[in-house]
Order: sequence, then C-alpha cells, then structure tokens
Amino acid sequence: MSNKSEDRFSSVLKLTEFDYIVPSQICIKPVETPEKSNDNGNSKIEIESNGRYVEISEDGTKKQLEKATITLNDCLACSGCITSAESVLITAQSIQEFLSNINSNTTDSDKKTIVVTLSPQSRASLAAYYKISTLQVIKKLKTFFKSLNIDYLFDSSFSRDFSLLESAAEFVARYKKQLGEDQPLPMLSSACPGWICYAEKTHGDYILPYISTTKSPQQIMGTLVKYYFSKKINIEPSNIYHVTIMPCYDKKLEASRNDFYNDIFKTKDVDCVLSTSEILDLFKEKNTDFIQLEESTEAITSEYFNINQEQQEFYGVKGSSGGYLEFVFRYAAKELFNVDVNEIEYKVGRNQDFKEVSLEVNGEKVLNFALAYGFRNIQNIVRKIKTNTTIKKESALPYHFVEIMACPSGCINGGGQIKQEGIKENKAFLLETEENYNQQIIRNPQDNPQVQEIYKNWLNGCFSHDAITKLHTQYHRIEKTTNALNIKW
Amino acid sequence: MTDTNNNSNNGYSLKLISSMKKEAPFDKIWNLAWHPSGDILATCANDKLIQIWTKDDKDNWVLAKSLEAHEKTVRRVAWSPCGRFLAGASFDASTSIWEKTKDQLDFNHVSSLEGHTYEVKSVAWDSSGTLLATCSRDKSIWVWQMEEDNDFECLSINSGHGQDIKCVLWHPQEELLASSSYDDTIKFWKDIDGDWLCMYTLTGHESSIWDISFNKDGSKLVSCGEDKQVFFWKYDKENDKWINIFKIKEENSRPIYSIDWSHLTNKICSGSADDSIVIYEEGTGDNKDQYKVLLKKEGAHDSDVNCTKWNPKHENILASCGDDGTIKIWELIKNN
Repeated sequence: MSNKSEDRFSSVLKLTEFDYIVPSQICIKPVETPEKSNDNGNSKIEIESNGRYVEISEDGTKKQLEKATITLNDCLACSGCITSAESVLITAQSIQEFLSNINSNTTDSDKKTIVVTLSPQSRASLAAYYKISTLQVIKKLKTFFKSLNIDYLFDSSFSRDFSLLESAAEFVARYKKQLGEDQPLPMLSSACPGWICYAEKTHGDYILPYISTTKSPQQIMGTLVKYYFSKKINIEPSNIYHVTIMPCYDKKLEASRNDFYNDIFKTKDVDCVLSTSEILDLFKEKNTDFIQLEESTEAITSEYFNINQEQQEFYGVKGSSGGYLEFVFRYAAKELFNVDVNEIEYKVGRNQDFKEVSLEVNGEKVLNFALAYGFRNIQNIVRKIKTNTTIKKESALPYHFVEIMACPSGCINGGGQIKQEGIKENKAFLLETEENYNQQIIRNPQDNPQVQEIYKNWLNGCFSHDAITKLHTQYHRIEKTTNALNIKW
Repeated sequence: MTDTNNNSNNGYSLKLISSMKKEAPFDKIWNLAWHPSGDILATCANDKLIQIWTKDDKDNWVLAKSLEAHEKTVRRVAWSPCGRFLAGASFDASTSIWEKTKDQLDFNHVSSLEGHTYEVKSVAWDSSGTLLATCSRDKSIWVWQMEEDNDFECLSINSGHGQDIKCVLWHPQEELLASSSYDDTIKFWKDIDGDWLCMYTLTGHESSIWDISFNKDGSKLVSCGEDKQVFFWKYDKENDKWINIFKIKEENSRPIYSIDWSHLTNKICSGSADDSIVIYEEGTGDNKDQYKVLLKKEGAHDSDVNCTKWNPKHENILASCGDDGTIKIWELIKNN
C-alpha cells in the first residue's frame, strides 16, 4: 500500500457521498489528500462514456482518476465485507498517519509515550524478506524505532498468552454449561477480525453467540498498554500512542471498533495499526536500508516480550495463526478429562485449510475440534451450525471448538504480510515465513511468569470477573442496509 | 391454438403449439428449464415463485405446482442432469434446492444455499450432477458439492469478474465452468489442486453478456448480450485458448437475453428484447465455423423475450417466456 494509492483512493471516495463516516478519534483524521492540487478545490469530476472517472480542473485540463483499489484484495474474506466507511478507517490508519503523529510528538508539554507492538507473524515475514533471522529483525527494528523516537517495543505473543488462557477457560466453562444458553457450543475462535466482521454483517442472528468473547492478542495488548502499563509508568492512558504491526489489514478495523474506545480517557486501546508490508513502505519513506541497520538489544526497552533472559530465543506456541485449537484442546483435555495430550494428530479434510482433531475417552468422542481457514471453509462451518440450530437435531454437535481464520493458510499468510510476485514464488516465501515463525521455544502460556504476575496483581486470576471485564468483548449484529436501487434484472 | 402469423424464412417456420399465461398479470417470467425427460417445464418469475408445468390427460400444458421459498424474484432455474433436483437462484441472495419425488410431481425443499452478499443471478449443475455453481451481483462465483444427505459443501469462492455476473454454465463433458458478466467478458474456471482458477478470459462483446451456451461436445460456445450481438467461440486446442470465430450483428434491434444451442439438432435459438425469437444454423463442410439466421420470429411475445430453450428430448421443440407473463411452446417446421 503505497501512499500514492491512498491519494487516489481518497479522491474517489469523494465521489461516493454515502456511507462516509468521519472518524471522531484523534488518531484518525478524515482522509485528506496530502498533496494539494492547485485548483482550490474547484475541479469537477465527470464520468466519461467509457465509465472512466475524469477530473477536470478549472483550466480545463483533464486527469484520469484511478479506480479505487482496496488493499484487502489479497484476503478474499475481507474484500467481501468492506464498505466504503471501513475503507476510510483503513486508509486513515496509514504510515502517513503514523508518521504525522510521531513527528508532531516533540513539544515537552504534551509529549506522548510511544509504544509499538509487533506480531510474531510480522517478524517472520520480514525475516523471510530480508533473509535474516527473526532475532536479527527485532534487533534491527529496535535501532530503527529508536531513530523514530519510539519508547517501547512489545510483542503480541505476550498478550496472546492471555488470549489463549482466557479462551481455554471460556471453552471449559461453555463445555460445562456454566455460561448459560446465550454462550453455547461450538465455541468459535475470535482472534480473526475479518471473520468477526463477516459474522456480524451476514450471520448476526445466529452465529454471534457461538463466538468466543475473548479479545484478540492485539486488543488485549491494547488494554494492557493503556490501562496497566500506563499506571506502571505513571501516565494517563491518552498520553500513550500505541501502534501495532500486524499480518492483517483487518486489524485496522478491529482497532477502530467502538468497543475498544474509552470515552472517559478519550483514547483507543490501539491507536494505529500498520501491516507488515507497510513497514517496507515506512523504510522507503525514511530512506532506511534495513539490512544495514545496527543490531541492538538495548536501543529501546521491551517489557512485554516473549523472549528468554539472554535475549536469544523467542517463546511461542505451535500454530502460526495463534495456536488456539492446540492450546484449547490440550487445556480442555486435561481440565475436563484429565488427559495429557502429547502429539496432536490432525485429520485433513477436503483441503489443507480444513483439519479436525478429536479426543476419545472410553470409546466416546468427547472433544471434536476443527480448524477452518479461508472463506469457503468458514461457509461450511456456518452452514453446519445453521443446519444444527434450525433443525434442532438431537444428534451430537458437529464440533465443540473451531479455530476460524479468514485467510487461506491463516495469519502467517495474512493480507498484510509481504507478498511475492507469482504463485510459486509466493508459496515458497510463505514456507520460509512459516519456518521463521517456528524459530522459537514452545512454551505453555501458563508458564509465562509475567502473565501470571499480571493475573495476580491486576486481574484477580484467569477468567475472573475482572479478567472478563478487561479481556473479553462483545459483538454486534449489523443490520443490512436495504439497497436504494431496485434491481430489475 | 395455431400460429396465425405464419411467416416463413429459408423454408422454415415456427409453429406455436401451446401458450400458457401466468394468472397474475404483469408478472415477468425470467427463465425456464426443461426437465431432462422433456415433458416437464420449470419457470421462475417476479412473483418469487418457481412453477412446474406439464401436460394434462388431453395433452394441454397446465400449471402443476408452485414452489414457494424465496423472498424476492427468482432469476434462474436449473434441473440436475438426472432430473431429481431443481435449483432456483433468487435475488434474495439464496439458491433453493428442490427434490422431486420419484414418480410424481411433488417437490421437497431440501436445501438453501446461502452466502452470496447480493442477488444470485444464475445457477448451473455440472454434467455429473454433483457440482453446482452459483453467481451473483456480488461478483463472485461459488462452487458447491452435493453431499450424501442432500446438503451442500462450498468448494470454492471465485472472484475475478469486475462486475455483476449474469450467467454460469458448465461444460457439457468436462469439469470446466464458464461465466459471463456485466464486465463484458466470459471467463472459464477450473479446479487446479483444490482452487478454482480462471483459465481463459474471452473479450469482444461491447456490453453485458446475458447468456451463454455450449454445443453438444463443448468444443464451441455461443454468447449474446446487451450489445445485440451473438458471438461464436471455438476452443483452439493447439494454442489452448478460446477464439472468436463468428459474429452476428444487426439481427436484433434490442438486447439479446437468451441463447441456447440444441444438442439434438445443433441449431441455436435466441430471445430478444425486441420481442423476437431467432433461430441460427451452423454451416456445413468448409463453412463449419459460419452461422446464418435460419428464421426470425417477430412478435413472438408481446414484450421482451427473456428465455428460449430447446427441448432436450424432442427435436425442434422449443419453449420461450417473457415479460408478457406467458410461456410458449413452439415447433420449428421445415415447410415443403
């Protein structure tokens, strides 16, 4: 997503008067064309007979306008659910926006603390692109961010530990029917914003109750940074500018949700989301040769980072989309049936993006989990649940838990990741990225001492009342707007 | 009922065998489909109904059933090759699947395919009867596979067309899907390792392509559209591409909405907004890639002719329907 394409985008957005929401938050300004044209805004836009949009300035010169290209195209699930309003939100969350906030952050009186949270998928993508290790990526990024006067670099694997623990506890509670009828099984994972957006828009009535209320790693980090970390460093939540780097454009939508905006402090949990590929644009913008950057562990501090004490190895979980299925499966098997699951054996379905795993106790299938990535597999899960709820079959539920991700191959292949030209090249690149992602020590989220400390000191334990208030969210059914055009054919 | 306007062309005439009018006036009939037996017709219309027509004891065509499942216009209907299932594509964004009881004209609504964001414009079964394709104004094509329990699993969601997709149609023999769109192109889709990829894009039409039809062995395709033109395409094996071999312009004064290539007689029929039905014939010998108008039936309907379909069992019989709310059955006759 280069800045040029955004200029083009905004100019076409002006043509569509409808559905234009001006964001109210300070971080996101209404989309403007930074490059002022010389016509004082008196140009006209006309549609030529061939359907092209042409801008005619006062002196009569014509300039053909490019069609709006929505950068979510890589991710099918996402392109299907983007309205122009959401596109505005996405465009507003750009490197320009980021840089203008960073650059204006100079005066001492209202100087903000700047926190960047990096996702493990993004560092893997950057490592594959530059052909260096993920550790080198982090060290170079620290040098780069230091030069931008950024104060902290955090790791969303850290907040993901909370997300996994809360999801697992929520699942067990649902399984034991402790949460009542409005939180039934199967529980559907909630970390993918493309999926959430789609579910709210098209299947609100019957699918939302099944979606886990646990916030995504990005939004849990948002909560931690603005309401826990802020207290630790003794500043107001609104005095932190929190930026995340994600494998996914849809995370921009997620960060823009009203649910993640605090009215009292007038601040969002995550102020700006940049995609991995936008980081390349950022390097370009800053004339930075990333590979030449010094490698530093000390340049900026990183309190919340799943890395060992020697700063040599990352801690993580298996599964490059966050490992929800695996962790919830193991946790539930232990908690509900006292079974220790060693290796998880998947049964691959019709395609690689659909897998199942089950647990049998005394010959009875007690846990049946599935992993469904990509739009088509989402469709089939939604269909199965709908058939089940409408027909009220007495037969067993198709699944107890489904890890859903909108992108084929999951988050490692997110729409915001760096892509290579050509199908073959991109596949090879994806494999490399996955390998980089796996440069880590597998650690059970329960064994993260900092997480345990925060649970103890701030949240009163996992899935407690406080944890539910702070680390869970809700979903909203979105009414379909009826089209004004009466389609006749 | 006989045809009073017995105009003949090239020694051919189109004789009206039967005419059925929908009860409610002004209901546009959008599409019709012959049951593989050739003795049953399914139609769909503005009134949200799918209707089943058949012959009574006295050999008169009568309405047998009205199937109600949709909240908006039903735009297209399609029988599975075995004739057991009927699919209806609707503007309510869903596609309904009906199962016909074995010996009777009773239908059970066995499934509803949801997922398209906007109007479903067309639906088609593949030659094996296990795959179903749907297309929509949302610019996507969905491929579904029928499961044992009459449920459907979505195999693929294809995007590639830049606009509303008007028609999807399977190759008569291969697992190859064709689609035509408001973006003036025809695309072919094929399953490559689990993903349906666009294999060919055919350009040439100057406006929306309303309908397409394959010849019997699938080596040729005919298309028609808003540009009042009929395009003939042929698969060029050597170069692995589809090429335009013939064009017919200026036969119709208004858009051509439907086209159908007979697998019995190799003749082609079309229906137009100029109220006419046109029959085309393929050349012979060295002229195999040339086509001529055999007959034009002006005023075939009182308004736009929306659909024309050859009977799959009985040679030279065709059915048409239109904005005038009537369904007509015709016979193409060679005069002596």
